[in-house]
Amino acid sequence: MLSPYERVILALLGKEPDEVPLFIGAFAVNGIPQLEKSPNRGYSGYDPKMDPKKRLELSVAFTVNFAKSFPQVCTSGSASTSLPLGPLLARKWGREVVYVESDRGGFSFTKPLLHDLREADRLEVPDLEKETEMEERLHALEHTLERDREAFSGLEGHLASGLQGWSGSRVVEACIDQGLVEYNTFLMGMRLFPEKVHRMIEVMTEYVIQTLRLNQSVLGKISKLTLNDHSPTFMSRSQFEEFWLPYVTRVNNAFSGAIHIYHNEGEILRLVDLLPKAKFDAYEVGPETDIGKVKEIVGSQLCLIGNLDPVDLLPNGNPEDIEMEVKRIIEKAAGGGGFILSTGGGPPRTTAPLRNWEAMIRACRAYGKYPV
Amino acid sequence: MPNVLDDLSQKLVNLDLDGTLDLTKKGLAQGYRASEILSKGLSRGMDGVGDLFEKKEYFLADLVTASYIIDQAMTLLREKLTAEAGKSERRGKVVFGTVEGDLHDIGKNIAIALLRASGFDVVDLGVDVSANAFVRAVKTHQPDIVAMSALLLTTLPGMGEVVQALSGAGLRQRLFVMIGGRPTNKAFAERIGADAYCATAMDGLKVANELLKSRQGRGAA
Repeated sequence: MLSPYERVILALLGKEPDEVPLFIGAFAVNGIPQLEKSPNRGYSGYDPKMDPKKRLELSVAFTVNFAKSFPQVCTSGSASTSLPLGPLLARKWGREVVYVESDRGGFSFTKPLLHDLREADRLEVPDLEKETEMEERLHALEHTLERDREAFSGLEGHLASGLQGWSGSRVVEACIDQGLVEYNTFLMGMRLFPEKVHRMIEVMTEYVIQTLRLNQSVLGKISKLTLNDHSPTFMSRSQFEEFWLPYVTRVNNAFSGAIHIYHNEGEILRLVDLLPKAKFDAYEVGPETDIGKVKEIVGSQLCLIGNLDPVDLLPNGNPEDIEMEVKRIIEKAAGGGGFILSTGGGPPRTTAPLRNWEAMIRACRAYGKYPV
Repeated sequence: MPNVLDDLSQKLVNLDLDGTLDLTKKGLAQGYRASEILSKGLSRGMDGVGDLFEKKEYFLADLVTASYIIDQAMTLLREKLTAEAGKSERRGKVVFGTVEGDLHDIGKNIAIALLRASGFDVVDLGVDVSANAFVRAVKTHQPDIVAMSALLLTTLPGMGEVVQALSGAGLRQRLFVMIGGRPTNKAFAERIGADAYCATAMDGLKVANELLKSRQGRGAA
């Protein structure tokens, strides 16, 4: 009998495990911790502004509880064991960074670094190894990994985490996330100032590769790389080919031994045939996308991950609706292997009642025995 | 033979920044009223951009580009539009914001550009706007419509919180609430008690017009 994690790995390699793998990304900031309302299911007290060590302890406790409560499910590790890009670049170039008070926590910017894209020529990639901020983050990452190793002993069959070499980043969209430009400026820049946008993405791509290499120095090896980048949702096919594909391919090529996973909750059916060209092995399909159509287009070239609707169906449907939808998704996408049942994106804060998560798990086991 | 406003509209459809600005200046030089340049040139061009978007020949990046070009053209027209304002009719006032916890303004900014280009008076509250801030803005600006946007699944509940806060402050009945953004849908809008869901920024403009028309039909909201 395979463990949930072994099933996930086989599916990522395009194979058929004994049954359809089930992955639920149980991060502290998404809706899953709301399961705390059910006894013994989660943890309470998460606050993004609290002391990082305390936050880590709460996250670890939550993950351990989650993995033990749902032994059929593969879930994510406690805290992020990917080195965050952070606002280092923007700060390095003189931008003011402020911290926002919200459920998501994290940093924000009072204004973008580049008001005018024509300023992009002045961007240079700093030598990250000389940056104190990066050094501090590497120490934090080492601490997290060490804590995970201790806490998750015995749960390896249920977790996809930094301990198994999972890492992630954004690439093109990082130009916006890192406060270089506003989204609108970036998007209109592709048409009006294309060479400046190329320059900006070029710098960001180099920064992402450097950051991931530093991350790798702590993890030992990046063996699974998730690139989380929604910007193609807003692009035409030609823009995707010009402004996204070459850069993301470069990042994937820099870690050529890894399994490459692409995450985008947006609707990109018009582009999915190009994902294998960027060296992706798997694609996390958003809830708005017909996963059956994706399967028709990409066949066995990509492992598909998804796509139970976390916006409406999961929180508001009844267990019978959810079981039927899981059955439908499995029928459309699981044939021949290379499929992982999951939510199409992170569940919202006010997440589904426990009975609906259990319906998802039950239906996956009922309808997901191979051959399906 | 096409006049300068026809050409202007086509330049915008082609997303030609320089061409649009040149023809906006030319229109003014030829004596067209600024409001005419806006309605018969830029707004018509935006309709053409919207048509291409609906046909999936243009994508969001193109809509953003068009709204940027309109913004630039508006800087040439704004002074004259203000002078003409007494003679024209304002369509309605909208208070617009991205809900608390969400820092994405892409959809909001396009929708605002489209609304303004069509004669709406829009108060932009920015991003990460709390329910209380929406309530304060409604009390201050007395809008016809409150519009909310969100990109993140995790921030969706904030929309419901705004509707509840407006109700709690006794403001809900006097205005319309419309929502939009990637994770939203019609069922969600109905569930939280919004009046309308907008699938796209273009849809937002259409919906805003329809909401105001419906109010005229029934007297007052």
